[in-house]
Amino acid sequence: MIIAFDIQEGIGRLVLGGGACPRLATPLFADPQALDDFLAREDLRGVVVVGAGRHFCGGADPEGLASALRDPEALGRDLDRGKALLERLASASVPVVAAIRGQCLGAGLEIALACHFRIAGDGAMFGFPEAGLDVLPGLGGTVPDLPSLARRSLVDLVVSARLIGADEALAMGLVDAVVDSGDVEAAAQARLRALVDGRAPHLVRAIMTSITAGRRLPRDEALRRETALFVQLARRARGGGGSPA
Amino acid sequence: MTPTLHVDGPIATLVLDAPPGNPTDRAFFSALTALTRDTLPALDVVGLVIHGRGRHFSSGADVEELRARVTSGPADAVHRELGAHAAALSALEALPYPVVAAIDGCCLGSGLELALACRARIATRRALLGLPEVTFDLMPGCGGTVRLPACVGVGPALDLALTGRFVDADEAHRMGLVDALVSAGDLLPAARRMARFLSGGREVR
Repeated sequence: MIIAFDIQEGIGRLVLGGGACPRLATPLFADPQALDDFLAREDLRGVVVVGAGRHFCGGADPEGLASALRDPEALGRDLDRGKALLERLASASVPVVAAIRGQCLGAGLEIALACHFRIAGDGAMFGFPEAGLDVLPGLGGTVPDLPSLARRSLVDLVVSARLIGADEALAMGLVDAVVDSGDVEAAAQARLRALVDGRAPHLVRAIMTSITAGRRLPRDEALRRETALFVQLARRARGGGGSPA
Repeated sequence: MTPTLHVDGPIATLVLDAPPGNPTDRAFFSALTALTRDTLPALDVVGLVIHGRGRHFSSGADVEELRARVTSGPADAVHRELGAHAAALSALEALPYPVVAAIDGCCLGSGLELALACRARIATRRALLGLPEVTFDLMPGCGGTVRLPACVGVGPALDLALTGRFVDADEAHRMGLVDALVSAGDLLPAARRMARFLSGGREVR
């Protein structure tokens, strides 16, 4: 469950919390309205998603899952709402980076995969241990956004239910970089800074919107939308002197 | 830049023909619009290879020309014209035979967007690819934000579009942006082999 939203110098922090290893009692891992409000803040330039302690997220809470499975209809509704939350992260108009230490399992891995970039600590662990229980909320949604190597690797993880370490996750294309465990969050922030520093916020938002929100549209519609965003941006920056930072 | 079309066998060739930069300017898109409407769909070929004359594929748009064009005149006219550019690339993508980009040197901005509208991309080790629009306070406007993520994934696409950085041939190959790397001397033959391969062995009528 996301227990904290804060912004420092433009970089937002979403903290997954609840015990030594954050687990999800329900697929609804954040308050939708709170997440929307956070992502819409004008001073937000980028987001780091991080676990409160030594772990990113261990996935579904076994007890919560057991009781949820007794009411499949309610679980189905909750899973849809969980997917909608992942979609909010994936279509954010600022870049989102998962900073992953320790366990990143099941629904926790799905949250990480909904982010645009993933930085892992050298002790991180990835997998879908509960794959056999058929509770993979967002996978179908965010998989198409991944590079093809990562898409193929996920099938392996889901089918085998095996756990892998950070180096193998890097080789499989599931994470973008592996750093010392103590440097994960700093590396995630540096990644964001490299993407947004020195760029006007409206410029970053236009490009992000075209890429992330465009990916759910039919191609012709996405192309028309890109043209509209381009014209809007170019006319705003008229005069060639650039735009206000 | 007006491209030249050569049809002298089962694989036609479209040459971006204004070295050194082979810019994808207004004249290029007008010519491409006409070609994709009338000439190219009617060709009796099994594939088309696009390459640049000289050292480069294409350096993309002339930014100052583009900016002047986009900021003068009524918004809806500008919108129509840029929409027509994107439509020309979609028409290229929809041709009934495979189109292959043969990339040497620079392949930047709308030059890369042209290559992304092709079915496959073959490059030499001297190739340099990127979407530098952001460094001019602009964004890709000819399908780059749509076709690049479809090709390499959202994360790598965001990286290229937001930083404007160039990737060399090896990195482009690793990320799946380029399908194969070949020596400069083998670029056009390899691109023709790729087109033939993608055509599934179809023969001219």
